[in-house]
Amino acid sequence: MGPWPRRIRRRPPKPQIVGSSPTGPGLRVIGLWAGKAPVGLRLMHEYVIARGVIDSLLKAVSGSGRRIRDFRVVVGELSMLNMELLNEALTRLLEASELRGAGFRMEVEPASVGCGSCGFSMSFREAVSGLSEEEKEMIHFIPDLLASYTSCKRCGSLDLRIVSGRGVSVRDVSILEQ
Amino acid sequence: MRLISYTVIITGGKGGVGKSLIAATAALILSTSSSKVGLLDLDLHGPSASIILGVGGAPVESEEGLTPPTVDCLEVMSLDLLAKGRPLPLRGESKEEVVKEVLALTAFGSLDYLVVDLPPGTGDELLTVSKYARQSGGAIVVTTPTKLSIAVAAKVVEILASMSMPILGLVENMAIGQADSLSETLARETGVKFLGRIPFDPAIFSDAGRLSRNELLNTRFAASLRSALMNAGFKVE
Repeated sequence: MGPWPRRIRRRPPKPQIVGSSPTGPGLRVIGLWAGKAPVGLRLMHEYVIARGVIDSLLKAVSGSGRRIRDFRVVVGELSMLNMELLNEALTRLLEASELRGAGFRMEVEPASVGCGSCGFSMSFREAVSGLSEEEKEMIHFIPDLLASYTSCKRCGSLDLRIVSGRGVSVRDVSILEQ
Repeated sequence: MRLISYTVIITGGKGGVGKSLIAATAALILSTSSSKVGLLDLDLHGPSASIILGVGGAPVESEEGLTPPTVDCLEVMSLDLLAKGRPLPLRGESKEEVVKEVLALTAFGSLDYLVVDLPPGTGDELLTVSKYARQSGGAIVVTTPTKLSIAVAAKVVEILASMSMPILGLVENMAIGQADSLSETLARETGVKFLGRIPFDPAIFSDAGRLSRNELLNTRFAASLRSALMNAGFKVE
């Protein structure tokens, strides 16, 4: 999924509800990377994430009597998750939960990088292009090391920041009409 | 961090008070006292632990994460080892992410003590580490005899107390004379244990980074720090 060879797994992002607002017929739930899972859980990466997604949804409808029809899972490119495994984990855990029957879609959010000096925006892949495999490996571990190894492709500034592509979020949750 | 028995954070708020030297030397002292010890340099913008201790290697990728290099018996992790000495410009929003990633990715294994060197200030690094370390850790607050350093240290003590982070004590670095100092007054007023003074040692400040680890351990600076660590409750040789 990422622009580098995948070896060890990075810290699993944990979906977390940070706010919700009604949007149309459903409920929109946005999750951000909370990242509290201990290192040992990396082996269970996708299952930890899937569990987090389901817990977030259960929390959102808890006590309301509402049922979830479907939702969308947006996976940041930098989270380095295996989409196939995550899909499998979500399917299995959903069926074993109170959300049985709910549908979902998954999509990857490309990582992008912005320059704080000139405002230029570039994809993460573009930002790391031209780096050696060893340099990409370092950035793979800690993406925020990006500016230690490369600079803005337009103005050369080191003031780079990752704008998108981190973590996992649950969006566009639609509720089944009673 | 669950494999780490106790985390010691070295903080102080003000820059230039010797936190990094104290953190690196304290970690060395503890590691020579039959404890399994790690040193984590979280001074993201001005890392110096690897320079002070002469760490040459880089973290090695393993199934568990990133295994830090070892000097003598001490495991040392610094972002500088990943950035390979390059500058690391980071905005506030990224700092918390980086601190969490370093904490989660570094495979120290089972440790008796993890010593954490914090940067000046009371920002993300201090707040994030205190949040994770407060269950089984304590802070050593470093000051110098100057009014400027004391003023910032007082704020650090207040923040740590508000977060229920245990404070092991306050140590005065670069001390001159033996008279009752502003640091002791601050300790008294805040109810924090005064761990002692580390006399100003011109040699350590001119030679830090050039001294071998053995030479560092044999300085007057290290001897005073050893006493301060004992006053904080550590069993050191």
